[in-house]
Amino acid sequence: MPKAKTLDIVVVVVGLAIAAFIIYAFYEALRINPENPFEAFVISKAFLGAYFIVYAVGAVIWILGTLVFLIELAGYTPSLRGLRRSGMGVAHWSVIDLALAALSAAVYGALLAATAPLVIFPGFTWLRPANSLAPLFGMFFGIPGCVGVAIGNLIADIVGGYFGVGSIGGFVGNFLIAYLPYKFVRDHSFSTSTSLGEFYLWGVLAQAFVSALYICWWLDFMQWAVGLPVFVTWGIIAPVILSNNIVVNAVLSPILGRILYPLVKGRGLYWKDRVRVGTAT
Amino acid sequence: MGSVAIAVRNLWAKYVGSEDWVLKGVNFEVREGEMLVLMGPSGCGKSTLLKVLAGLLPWVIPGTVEGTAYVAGVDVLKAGYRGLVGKVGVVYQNPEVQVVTRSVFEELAMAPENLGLPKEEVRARVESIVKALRLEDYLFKDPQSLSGGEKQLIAIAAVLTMKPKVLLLDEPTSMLDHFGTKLVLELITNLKREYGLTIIAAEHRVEWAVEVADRVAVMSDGVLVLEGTPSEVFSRVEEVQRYGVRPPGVSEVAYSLTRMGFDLRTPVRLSEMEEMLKGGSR
Amino acid sequence: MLSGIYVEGRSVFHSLDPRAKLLWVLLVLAASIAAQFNGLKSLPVFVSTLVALSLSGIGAGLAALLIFNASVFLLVTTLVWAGMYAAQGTPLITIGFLRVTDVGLLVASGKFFLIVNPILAFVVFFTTTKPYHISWTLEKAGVPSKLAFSFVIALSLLPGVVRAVRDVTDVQKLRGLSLDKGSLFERLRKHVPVIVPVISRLLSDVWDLSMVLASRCFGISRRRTYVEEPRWTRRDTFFTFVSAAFYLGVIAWALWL
Repeated sequence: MPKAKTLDIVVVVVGLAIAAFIIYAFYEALRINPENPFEAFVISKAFLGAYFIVYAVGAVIWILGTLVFLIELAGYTPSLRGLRRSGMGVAHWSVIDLALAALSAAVYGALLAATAPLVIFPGFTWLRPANSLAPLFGMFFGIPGCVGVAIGNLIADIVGGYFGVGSIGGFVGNFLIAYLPYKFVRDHSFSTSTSLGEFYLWGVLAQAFVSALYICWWLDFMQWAVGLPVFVTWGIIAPVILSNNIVVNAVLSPILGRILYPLVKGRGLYWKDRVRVGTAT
Repeated sequence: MGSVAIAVRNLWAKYVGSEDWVLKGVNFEVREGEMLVLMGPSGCGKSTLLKVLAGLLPWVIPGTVEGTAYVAGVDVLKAGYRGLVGKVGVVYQNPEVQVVTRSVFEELAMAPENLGLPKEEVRARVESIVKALRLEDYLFKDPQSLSGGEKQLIAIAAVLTMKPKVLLLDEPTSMLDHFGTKLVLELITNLKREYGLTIIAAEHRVEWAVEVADRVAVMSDGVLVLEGTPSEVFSRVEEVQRYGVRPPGVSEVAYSLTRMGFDLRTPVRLSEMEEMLKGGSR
Repeated sequence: MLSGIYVEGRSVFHSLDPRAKLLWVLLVLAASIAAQFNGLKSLPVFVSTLVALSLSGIGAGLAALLIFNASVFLLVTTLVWAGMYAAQGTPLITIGFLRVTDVGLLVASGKFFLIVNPILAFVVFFTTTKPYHISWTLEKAGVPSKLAFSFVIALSLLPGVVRAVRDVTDVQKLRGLSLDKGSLFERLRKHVPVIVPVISRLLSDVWDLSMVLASRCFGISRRRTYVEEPRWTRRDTFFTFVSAAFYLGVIAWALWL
């Protein structure tokens, strides 16, 4: 078997194993300490035990993530050879891009608001099936899809009555959840082992860590305005984001991606097809 | 009828990624103030034709278009939808995505606002349309809470604020219930009769078309196969049926009676059938 | 629960300029920040947000609902804060490992209000400000108009999409789908028959919406007119003056008195 294919399979297996481990570890933590499972939960310990390292890495990710967000919206994209014009900056958006961003946002926000989360620990830990769409919108629709996810999450905060200073971190954090697989996954079909392997690496693992670190670093940095103690931010919120994004995207996104990719292609909305055609507006 | 408002010559069109042409050498003209109703089974190319005439294909929707198409004096293949501003208004079939604001006033003002027209001009246009279409009761309602038919009314009013000379209607009643359909068709009829707009409407409702349309065109598999006045087209009952269009009920009845041996001409309107029955068969 | 979405009304807050309301939100945030170590001093700010909810026609009951929905989270957060100050002040409650002092209680309640007050203020802002005016405010703040417009269109289309999601869910339930039965993995997978039809509808709607936006001349002119541009009135000046006086007073009380 070629090396690349083996690696892809290994990544998929690892991603699924991590998802299963997180669920198992949390239920174990619940069993050990039902009143405060986060004290026993392995991932909480990891964040809080290495707080200064986590904070430093989070700061770097926050700066890089924010820069990437602004650069992409400005119509450029980072590459190994420096910044290149992407043609997908907001100023270049056609009416299709605008419609994609708006409808992605409305659908993502509506699914977050209108579908009940799968509660694991009431009030703290839940899985949100709608989150599985975030990497898919980025991969299928490009930057308009990534912006749609960011706006959709913002809308979900607004309609849920939870919009605050922390939502700013959630806005760019969700953009990054969609952006990483858009940028780094080459095969978006979900029908080959390479496609699945790349997705598990960037769309499950990488985006989960990056988004958890981005959002929680912001909450920590803005503690004086948000009011969340460090323990809650890194001991509860970070593991919740990480767990949710890994488990939901590992289980649901590939299934949805496999079904939706041909539909998106068939409707002429796949961003690589549109950019190649160069629709005039 | 005035000069030519729409002229289409040897028009071919297909969507990106498709091998097959959706429009195959379509030719027709529509004069100023005329109403042409396009009919044909689903997939025959009616919507595609309207998208080309609206400057959307290939300017918004990727595809290939060959031939010529002039609308209100504009070469749409060269100018695209931007060149048709103030000349052409388009209404689509899905009322849910045609209202994108939370107030009818904002919906009607959107197009002139997007053009950057002065506030007084925008206000004047909105007030004029509201008065003309008697939409005063709707003005400060939330369009998201309106019925499908009411949304389509607002969508039509919204394009009229651009003072178009040509109105393109792509199956505006296909997603509406009976009441909504009645509302919309009445409005279109009034627009034709009172304002003399040039209208192309893709519609399935034959009984309405024969009363209002100046001409009817039947499409089949991307080709314009029949064209003429409603009487000219629908009197050819068998041909119309073969192309997947249901003729008016009175035409079908008369045709069936003719096949039984009765000596009848083929009416297309109920009033014509009434006259026939009162005055004899011919 | 769609609590933060615009609700048509004729309340005091509906009639205010969005800039005045935004300034009010910032003042609520500033006062909550200043008083975050003393819940007693932040209490007036909390009461003011309840008054605002009433004046906006939404009702102060929404605050209770939002707090109830997040009660577990808020309880843990405030207990953590109380615990961090357990070594300071006079003990008020001691149950097992839980020790709450007067200092801890003041800080915990201050932090509670720091979380809750801005959220309630933003709820008032969004429920009383038309998406049209939010778009105007965003553009004035320098947000590109296409981005502002995407946000506003999404907000406007949201009720319809939520209805569609609920309809699809109901239809699938009638066909035997049970979203709350089975293991975690099974329940996750069961969302596929809900999500796919919704996305399928989105894919059709994108083309329709893009054609509608093209027909409505979006993006043709560089400058967009706002006919219903908010106009700053004496009422806004009075409201801003009263708000500033009140919240700056709370800030001074919290920081220096």
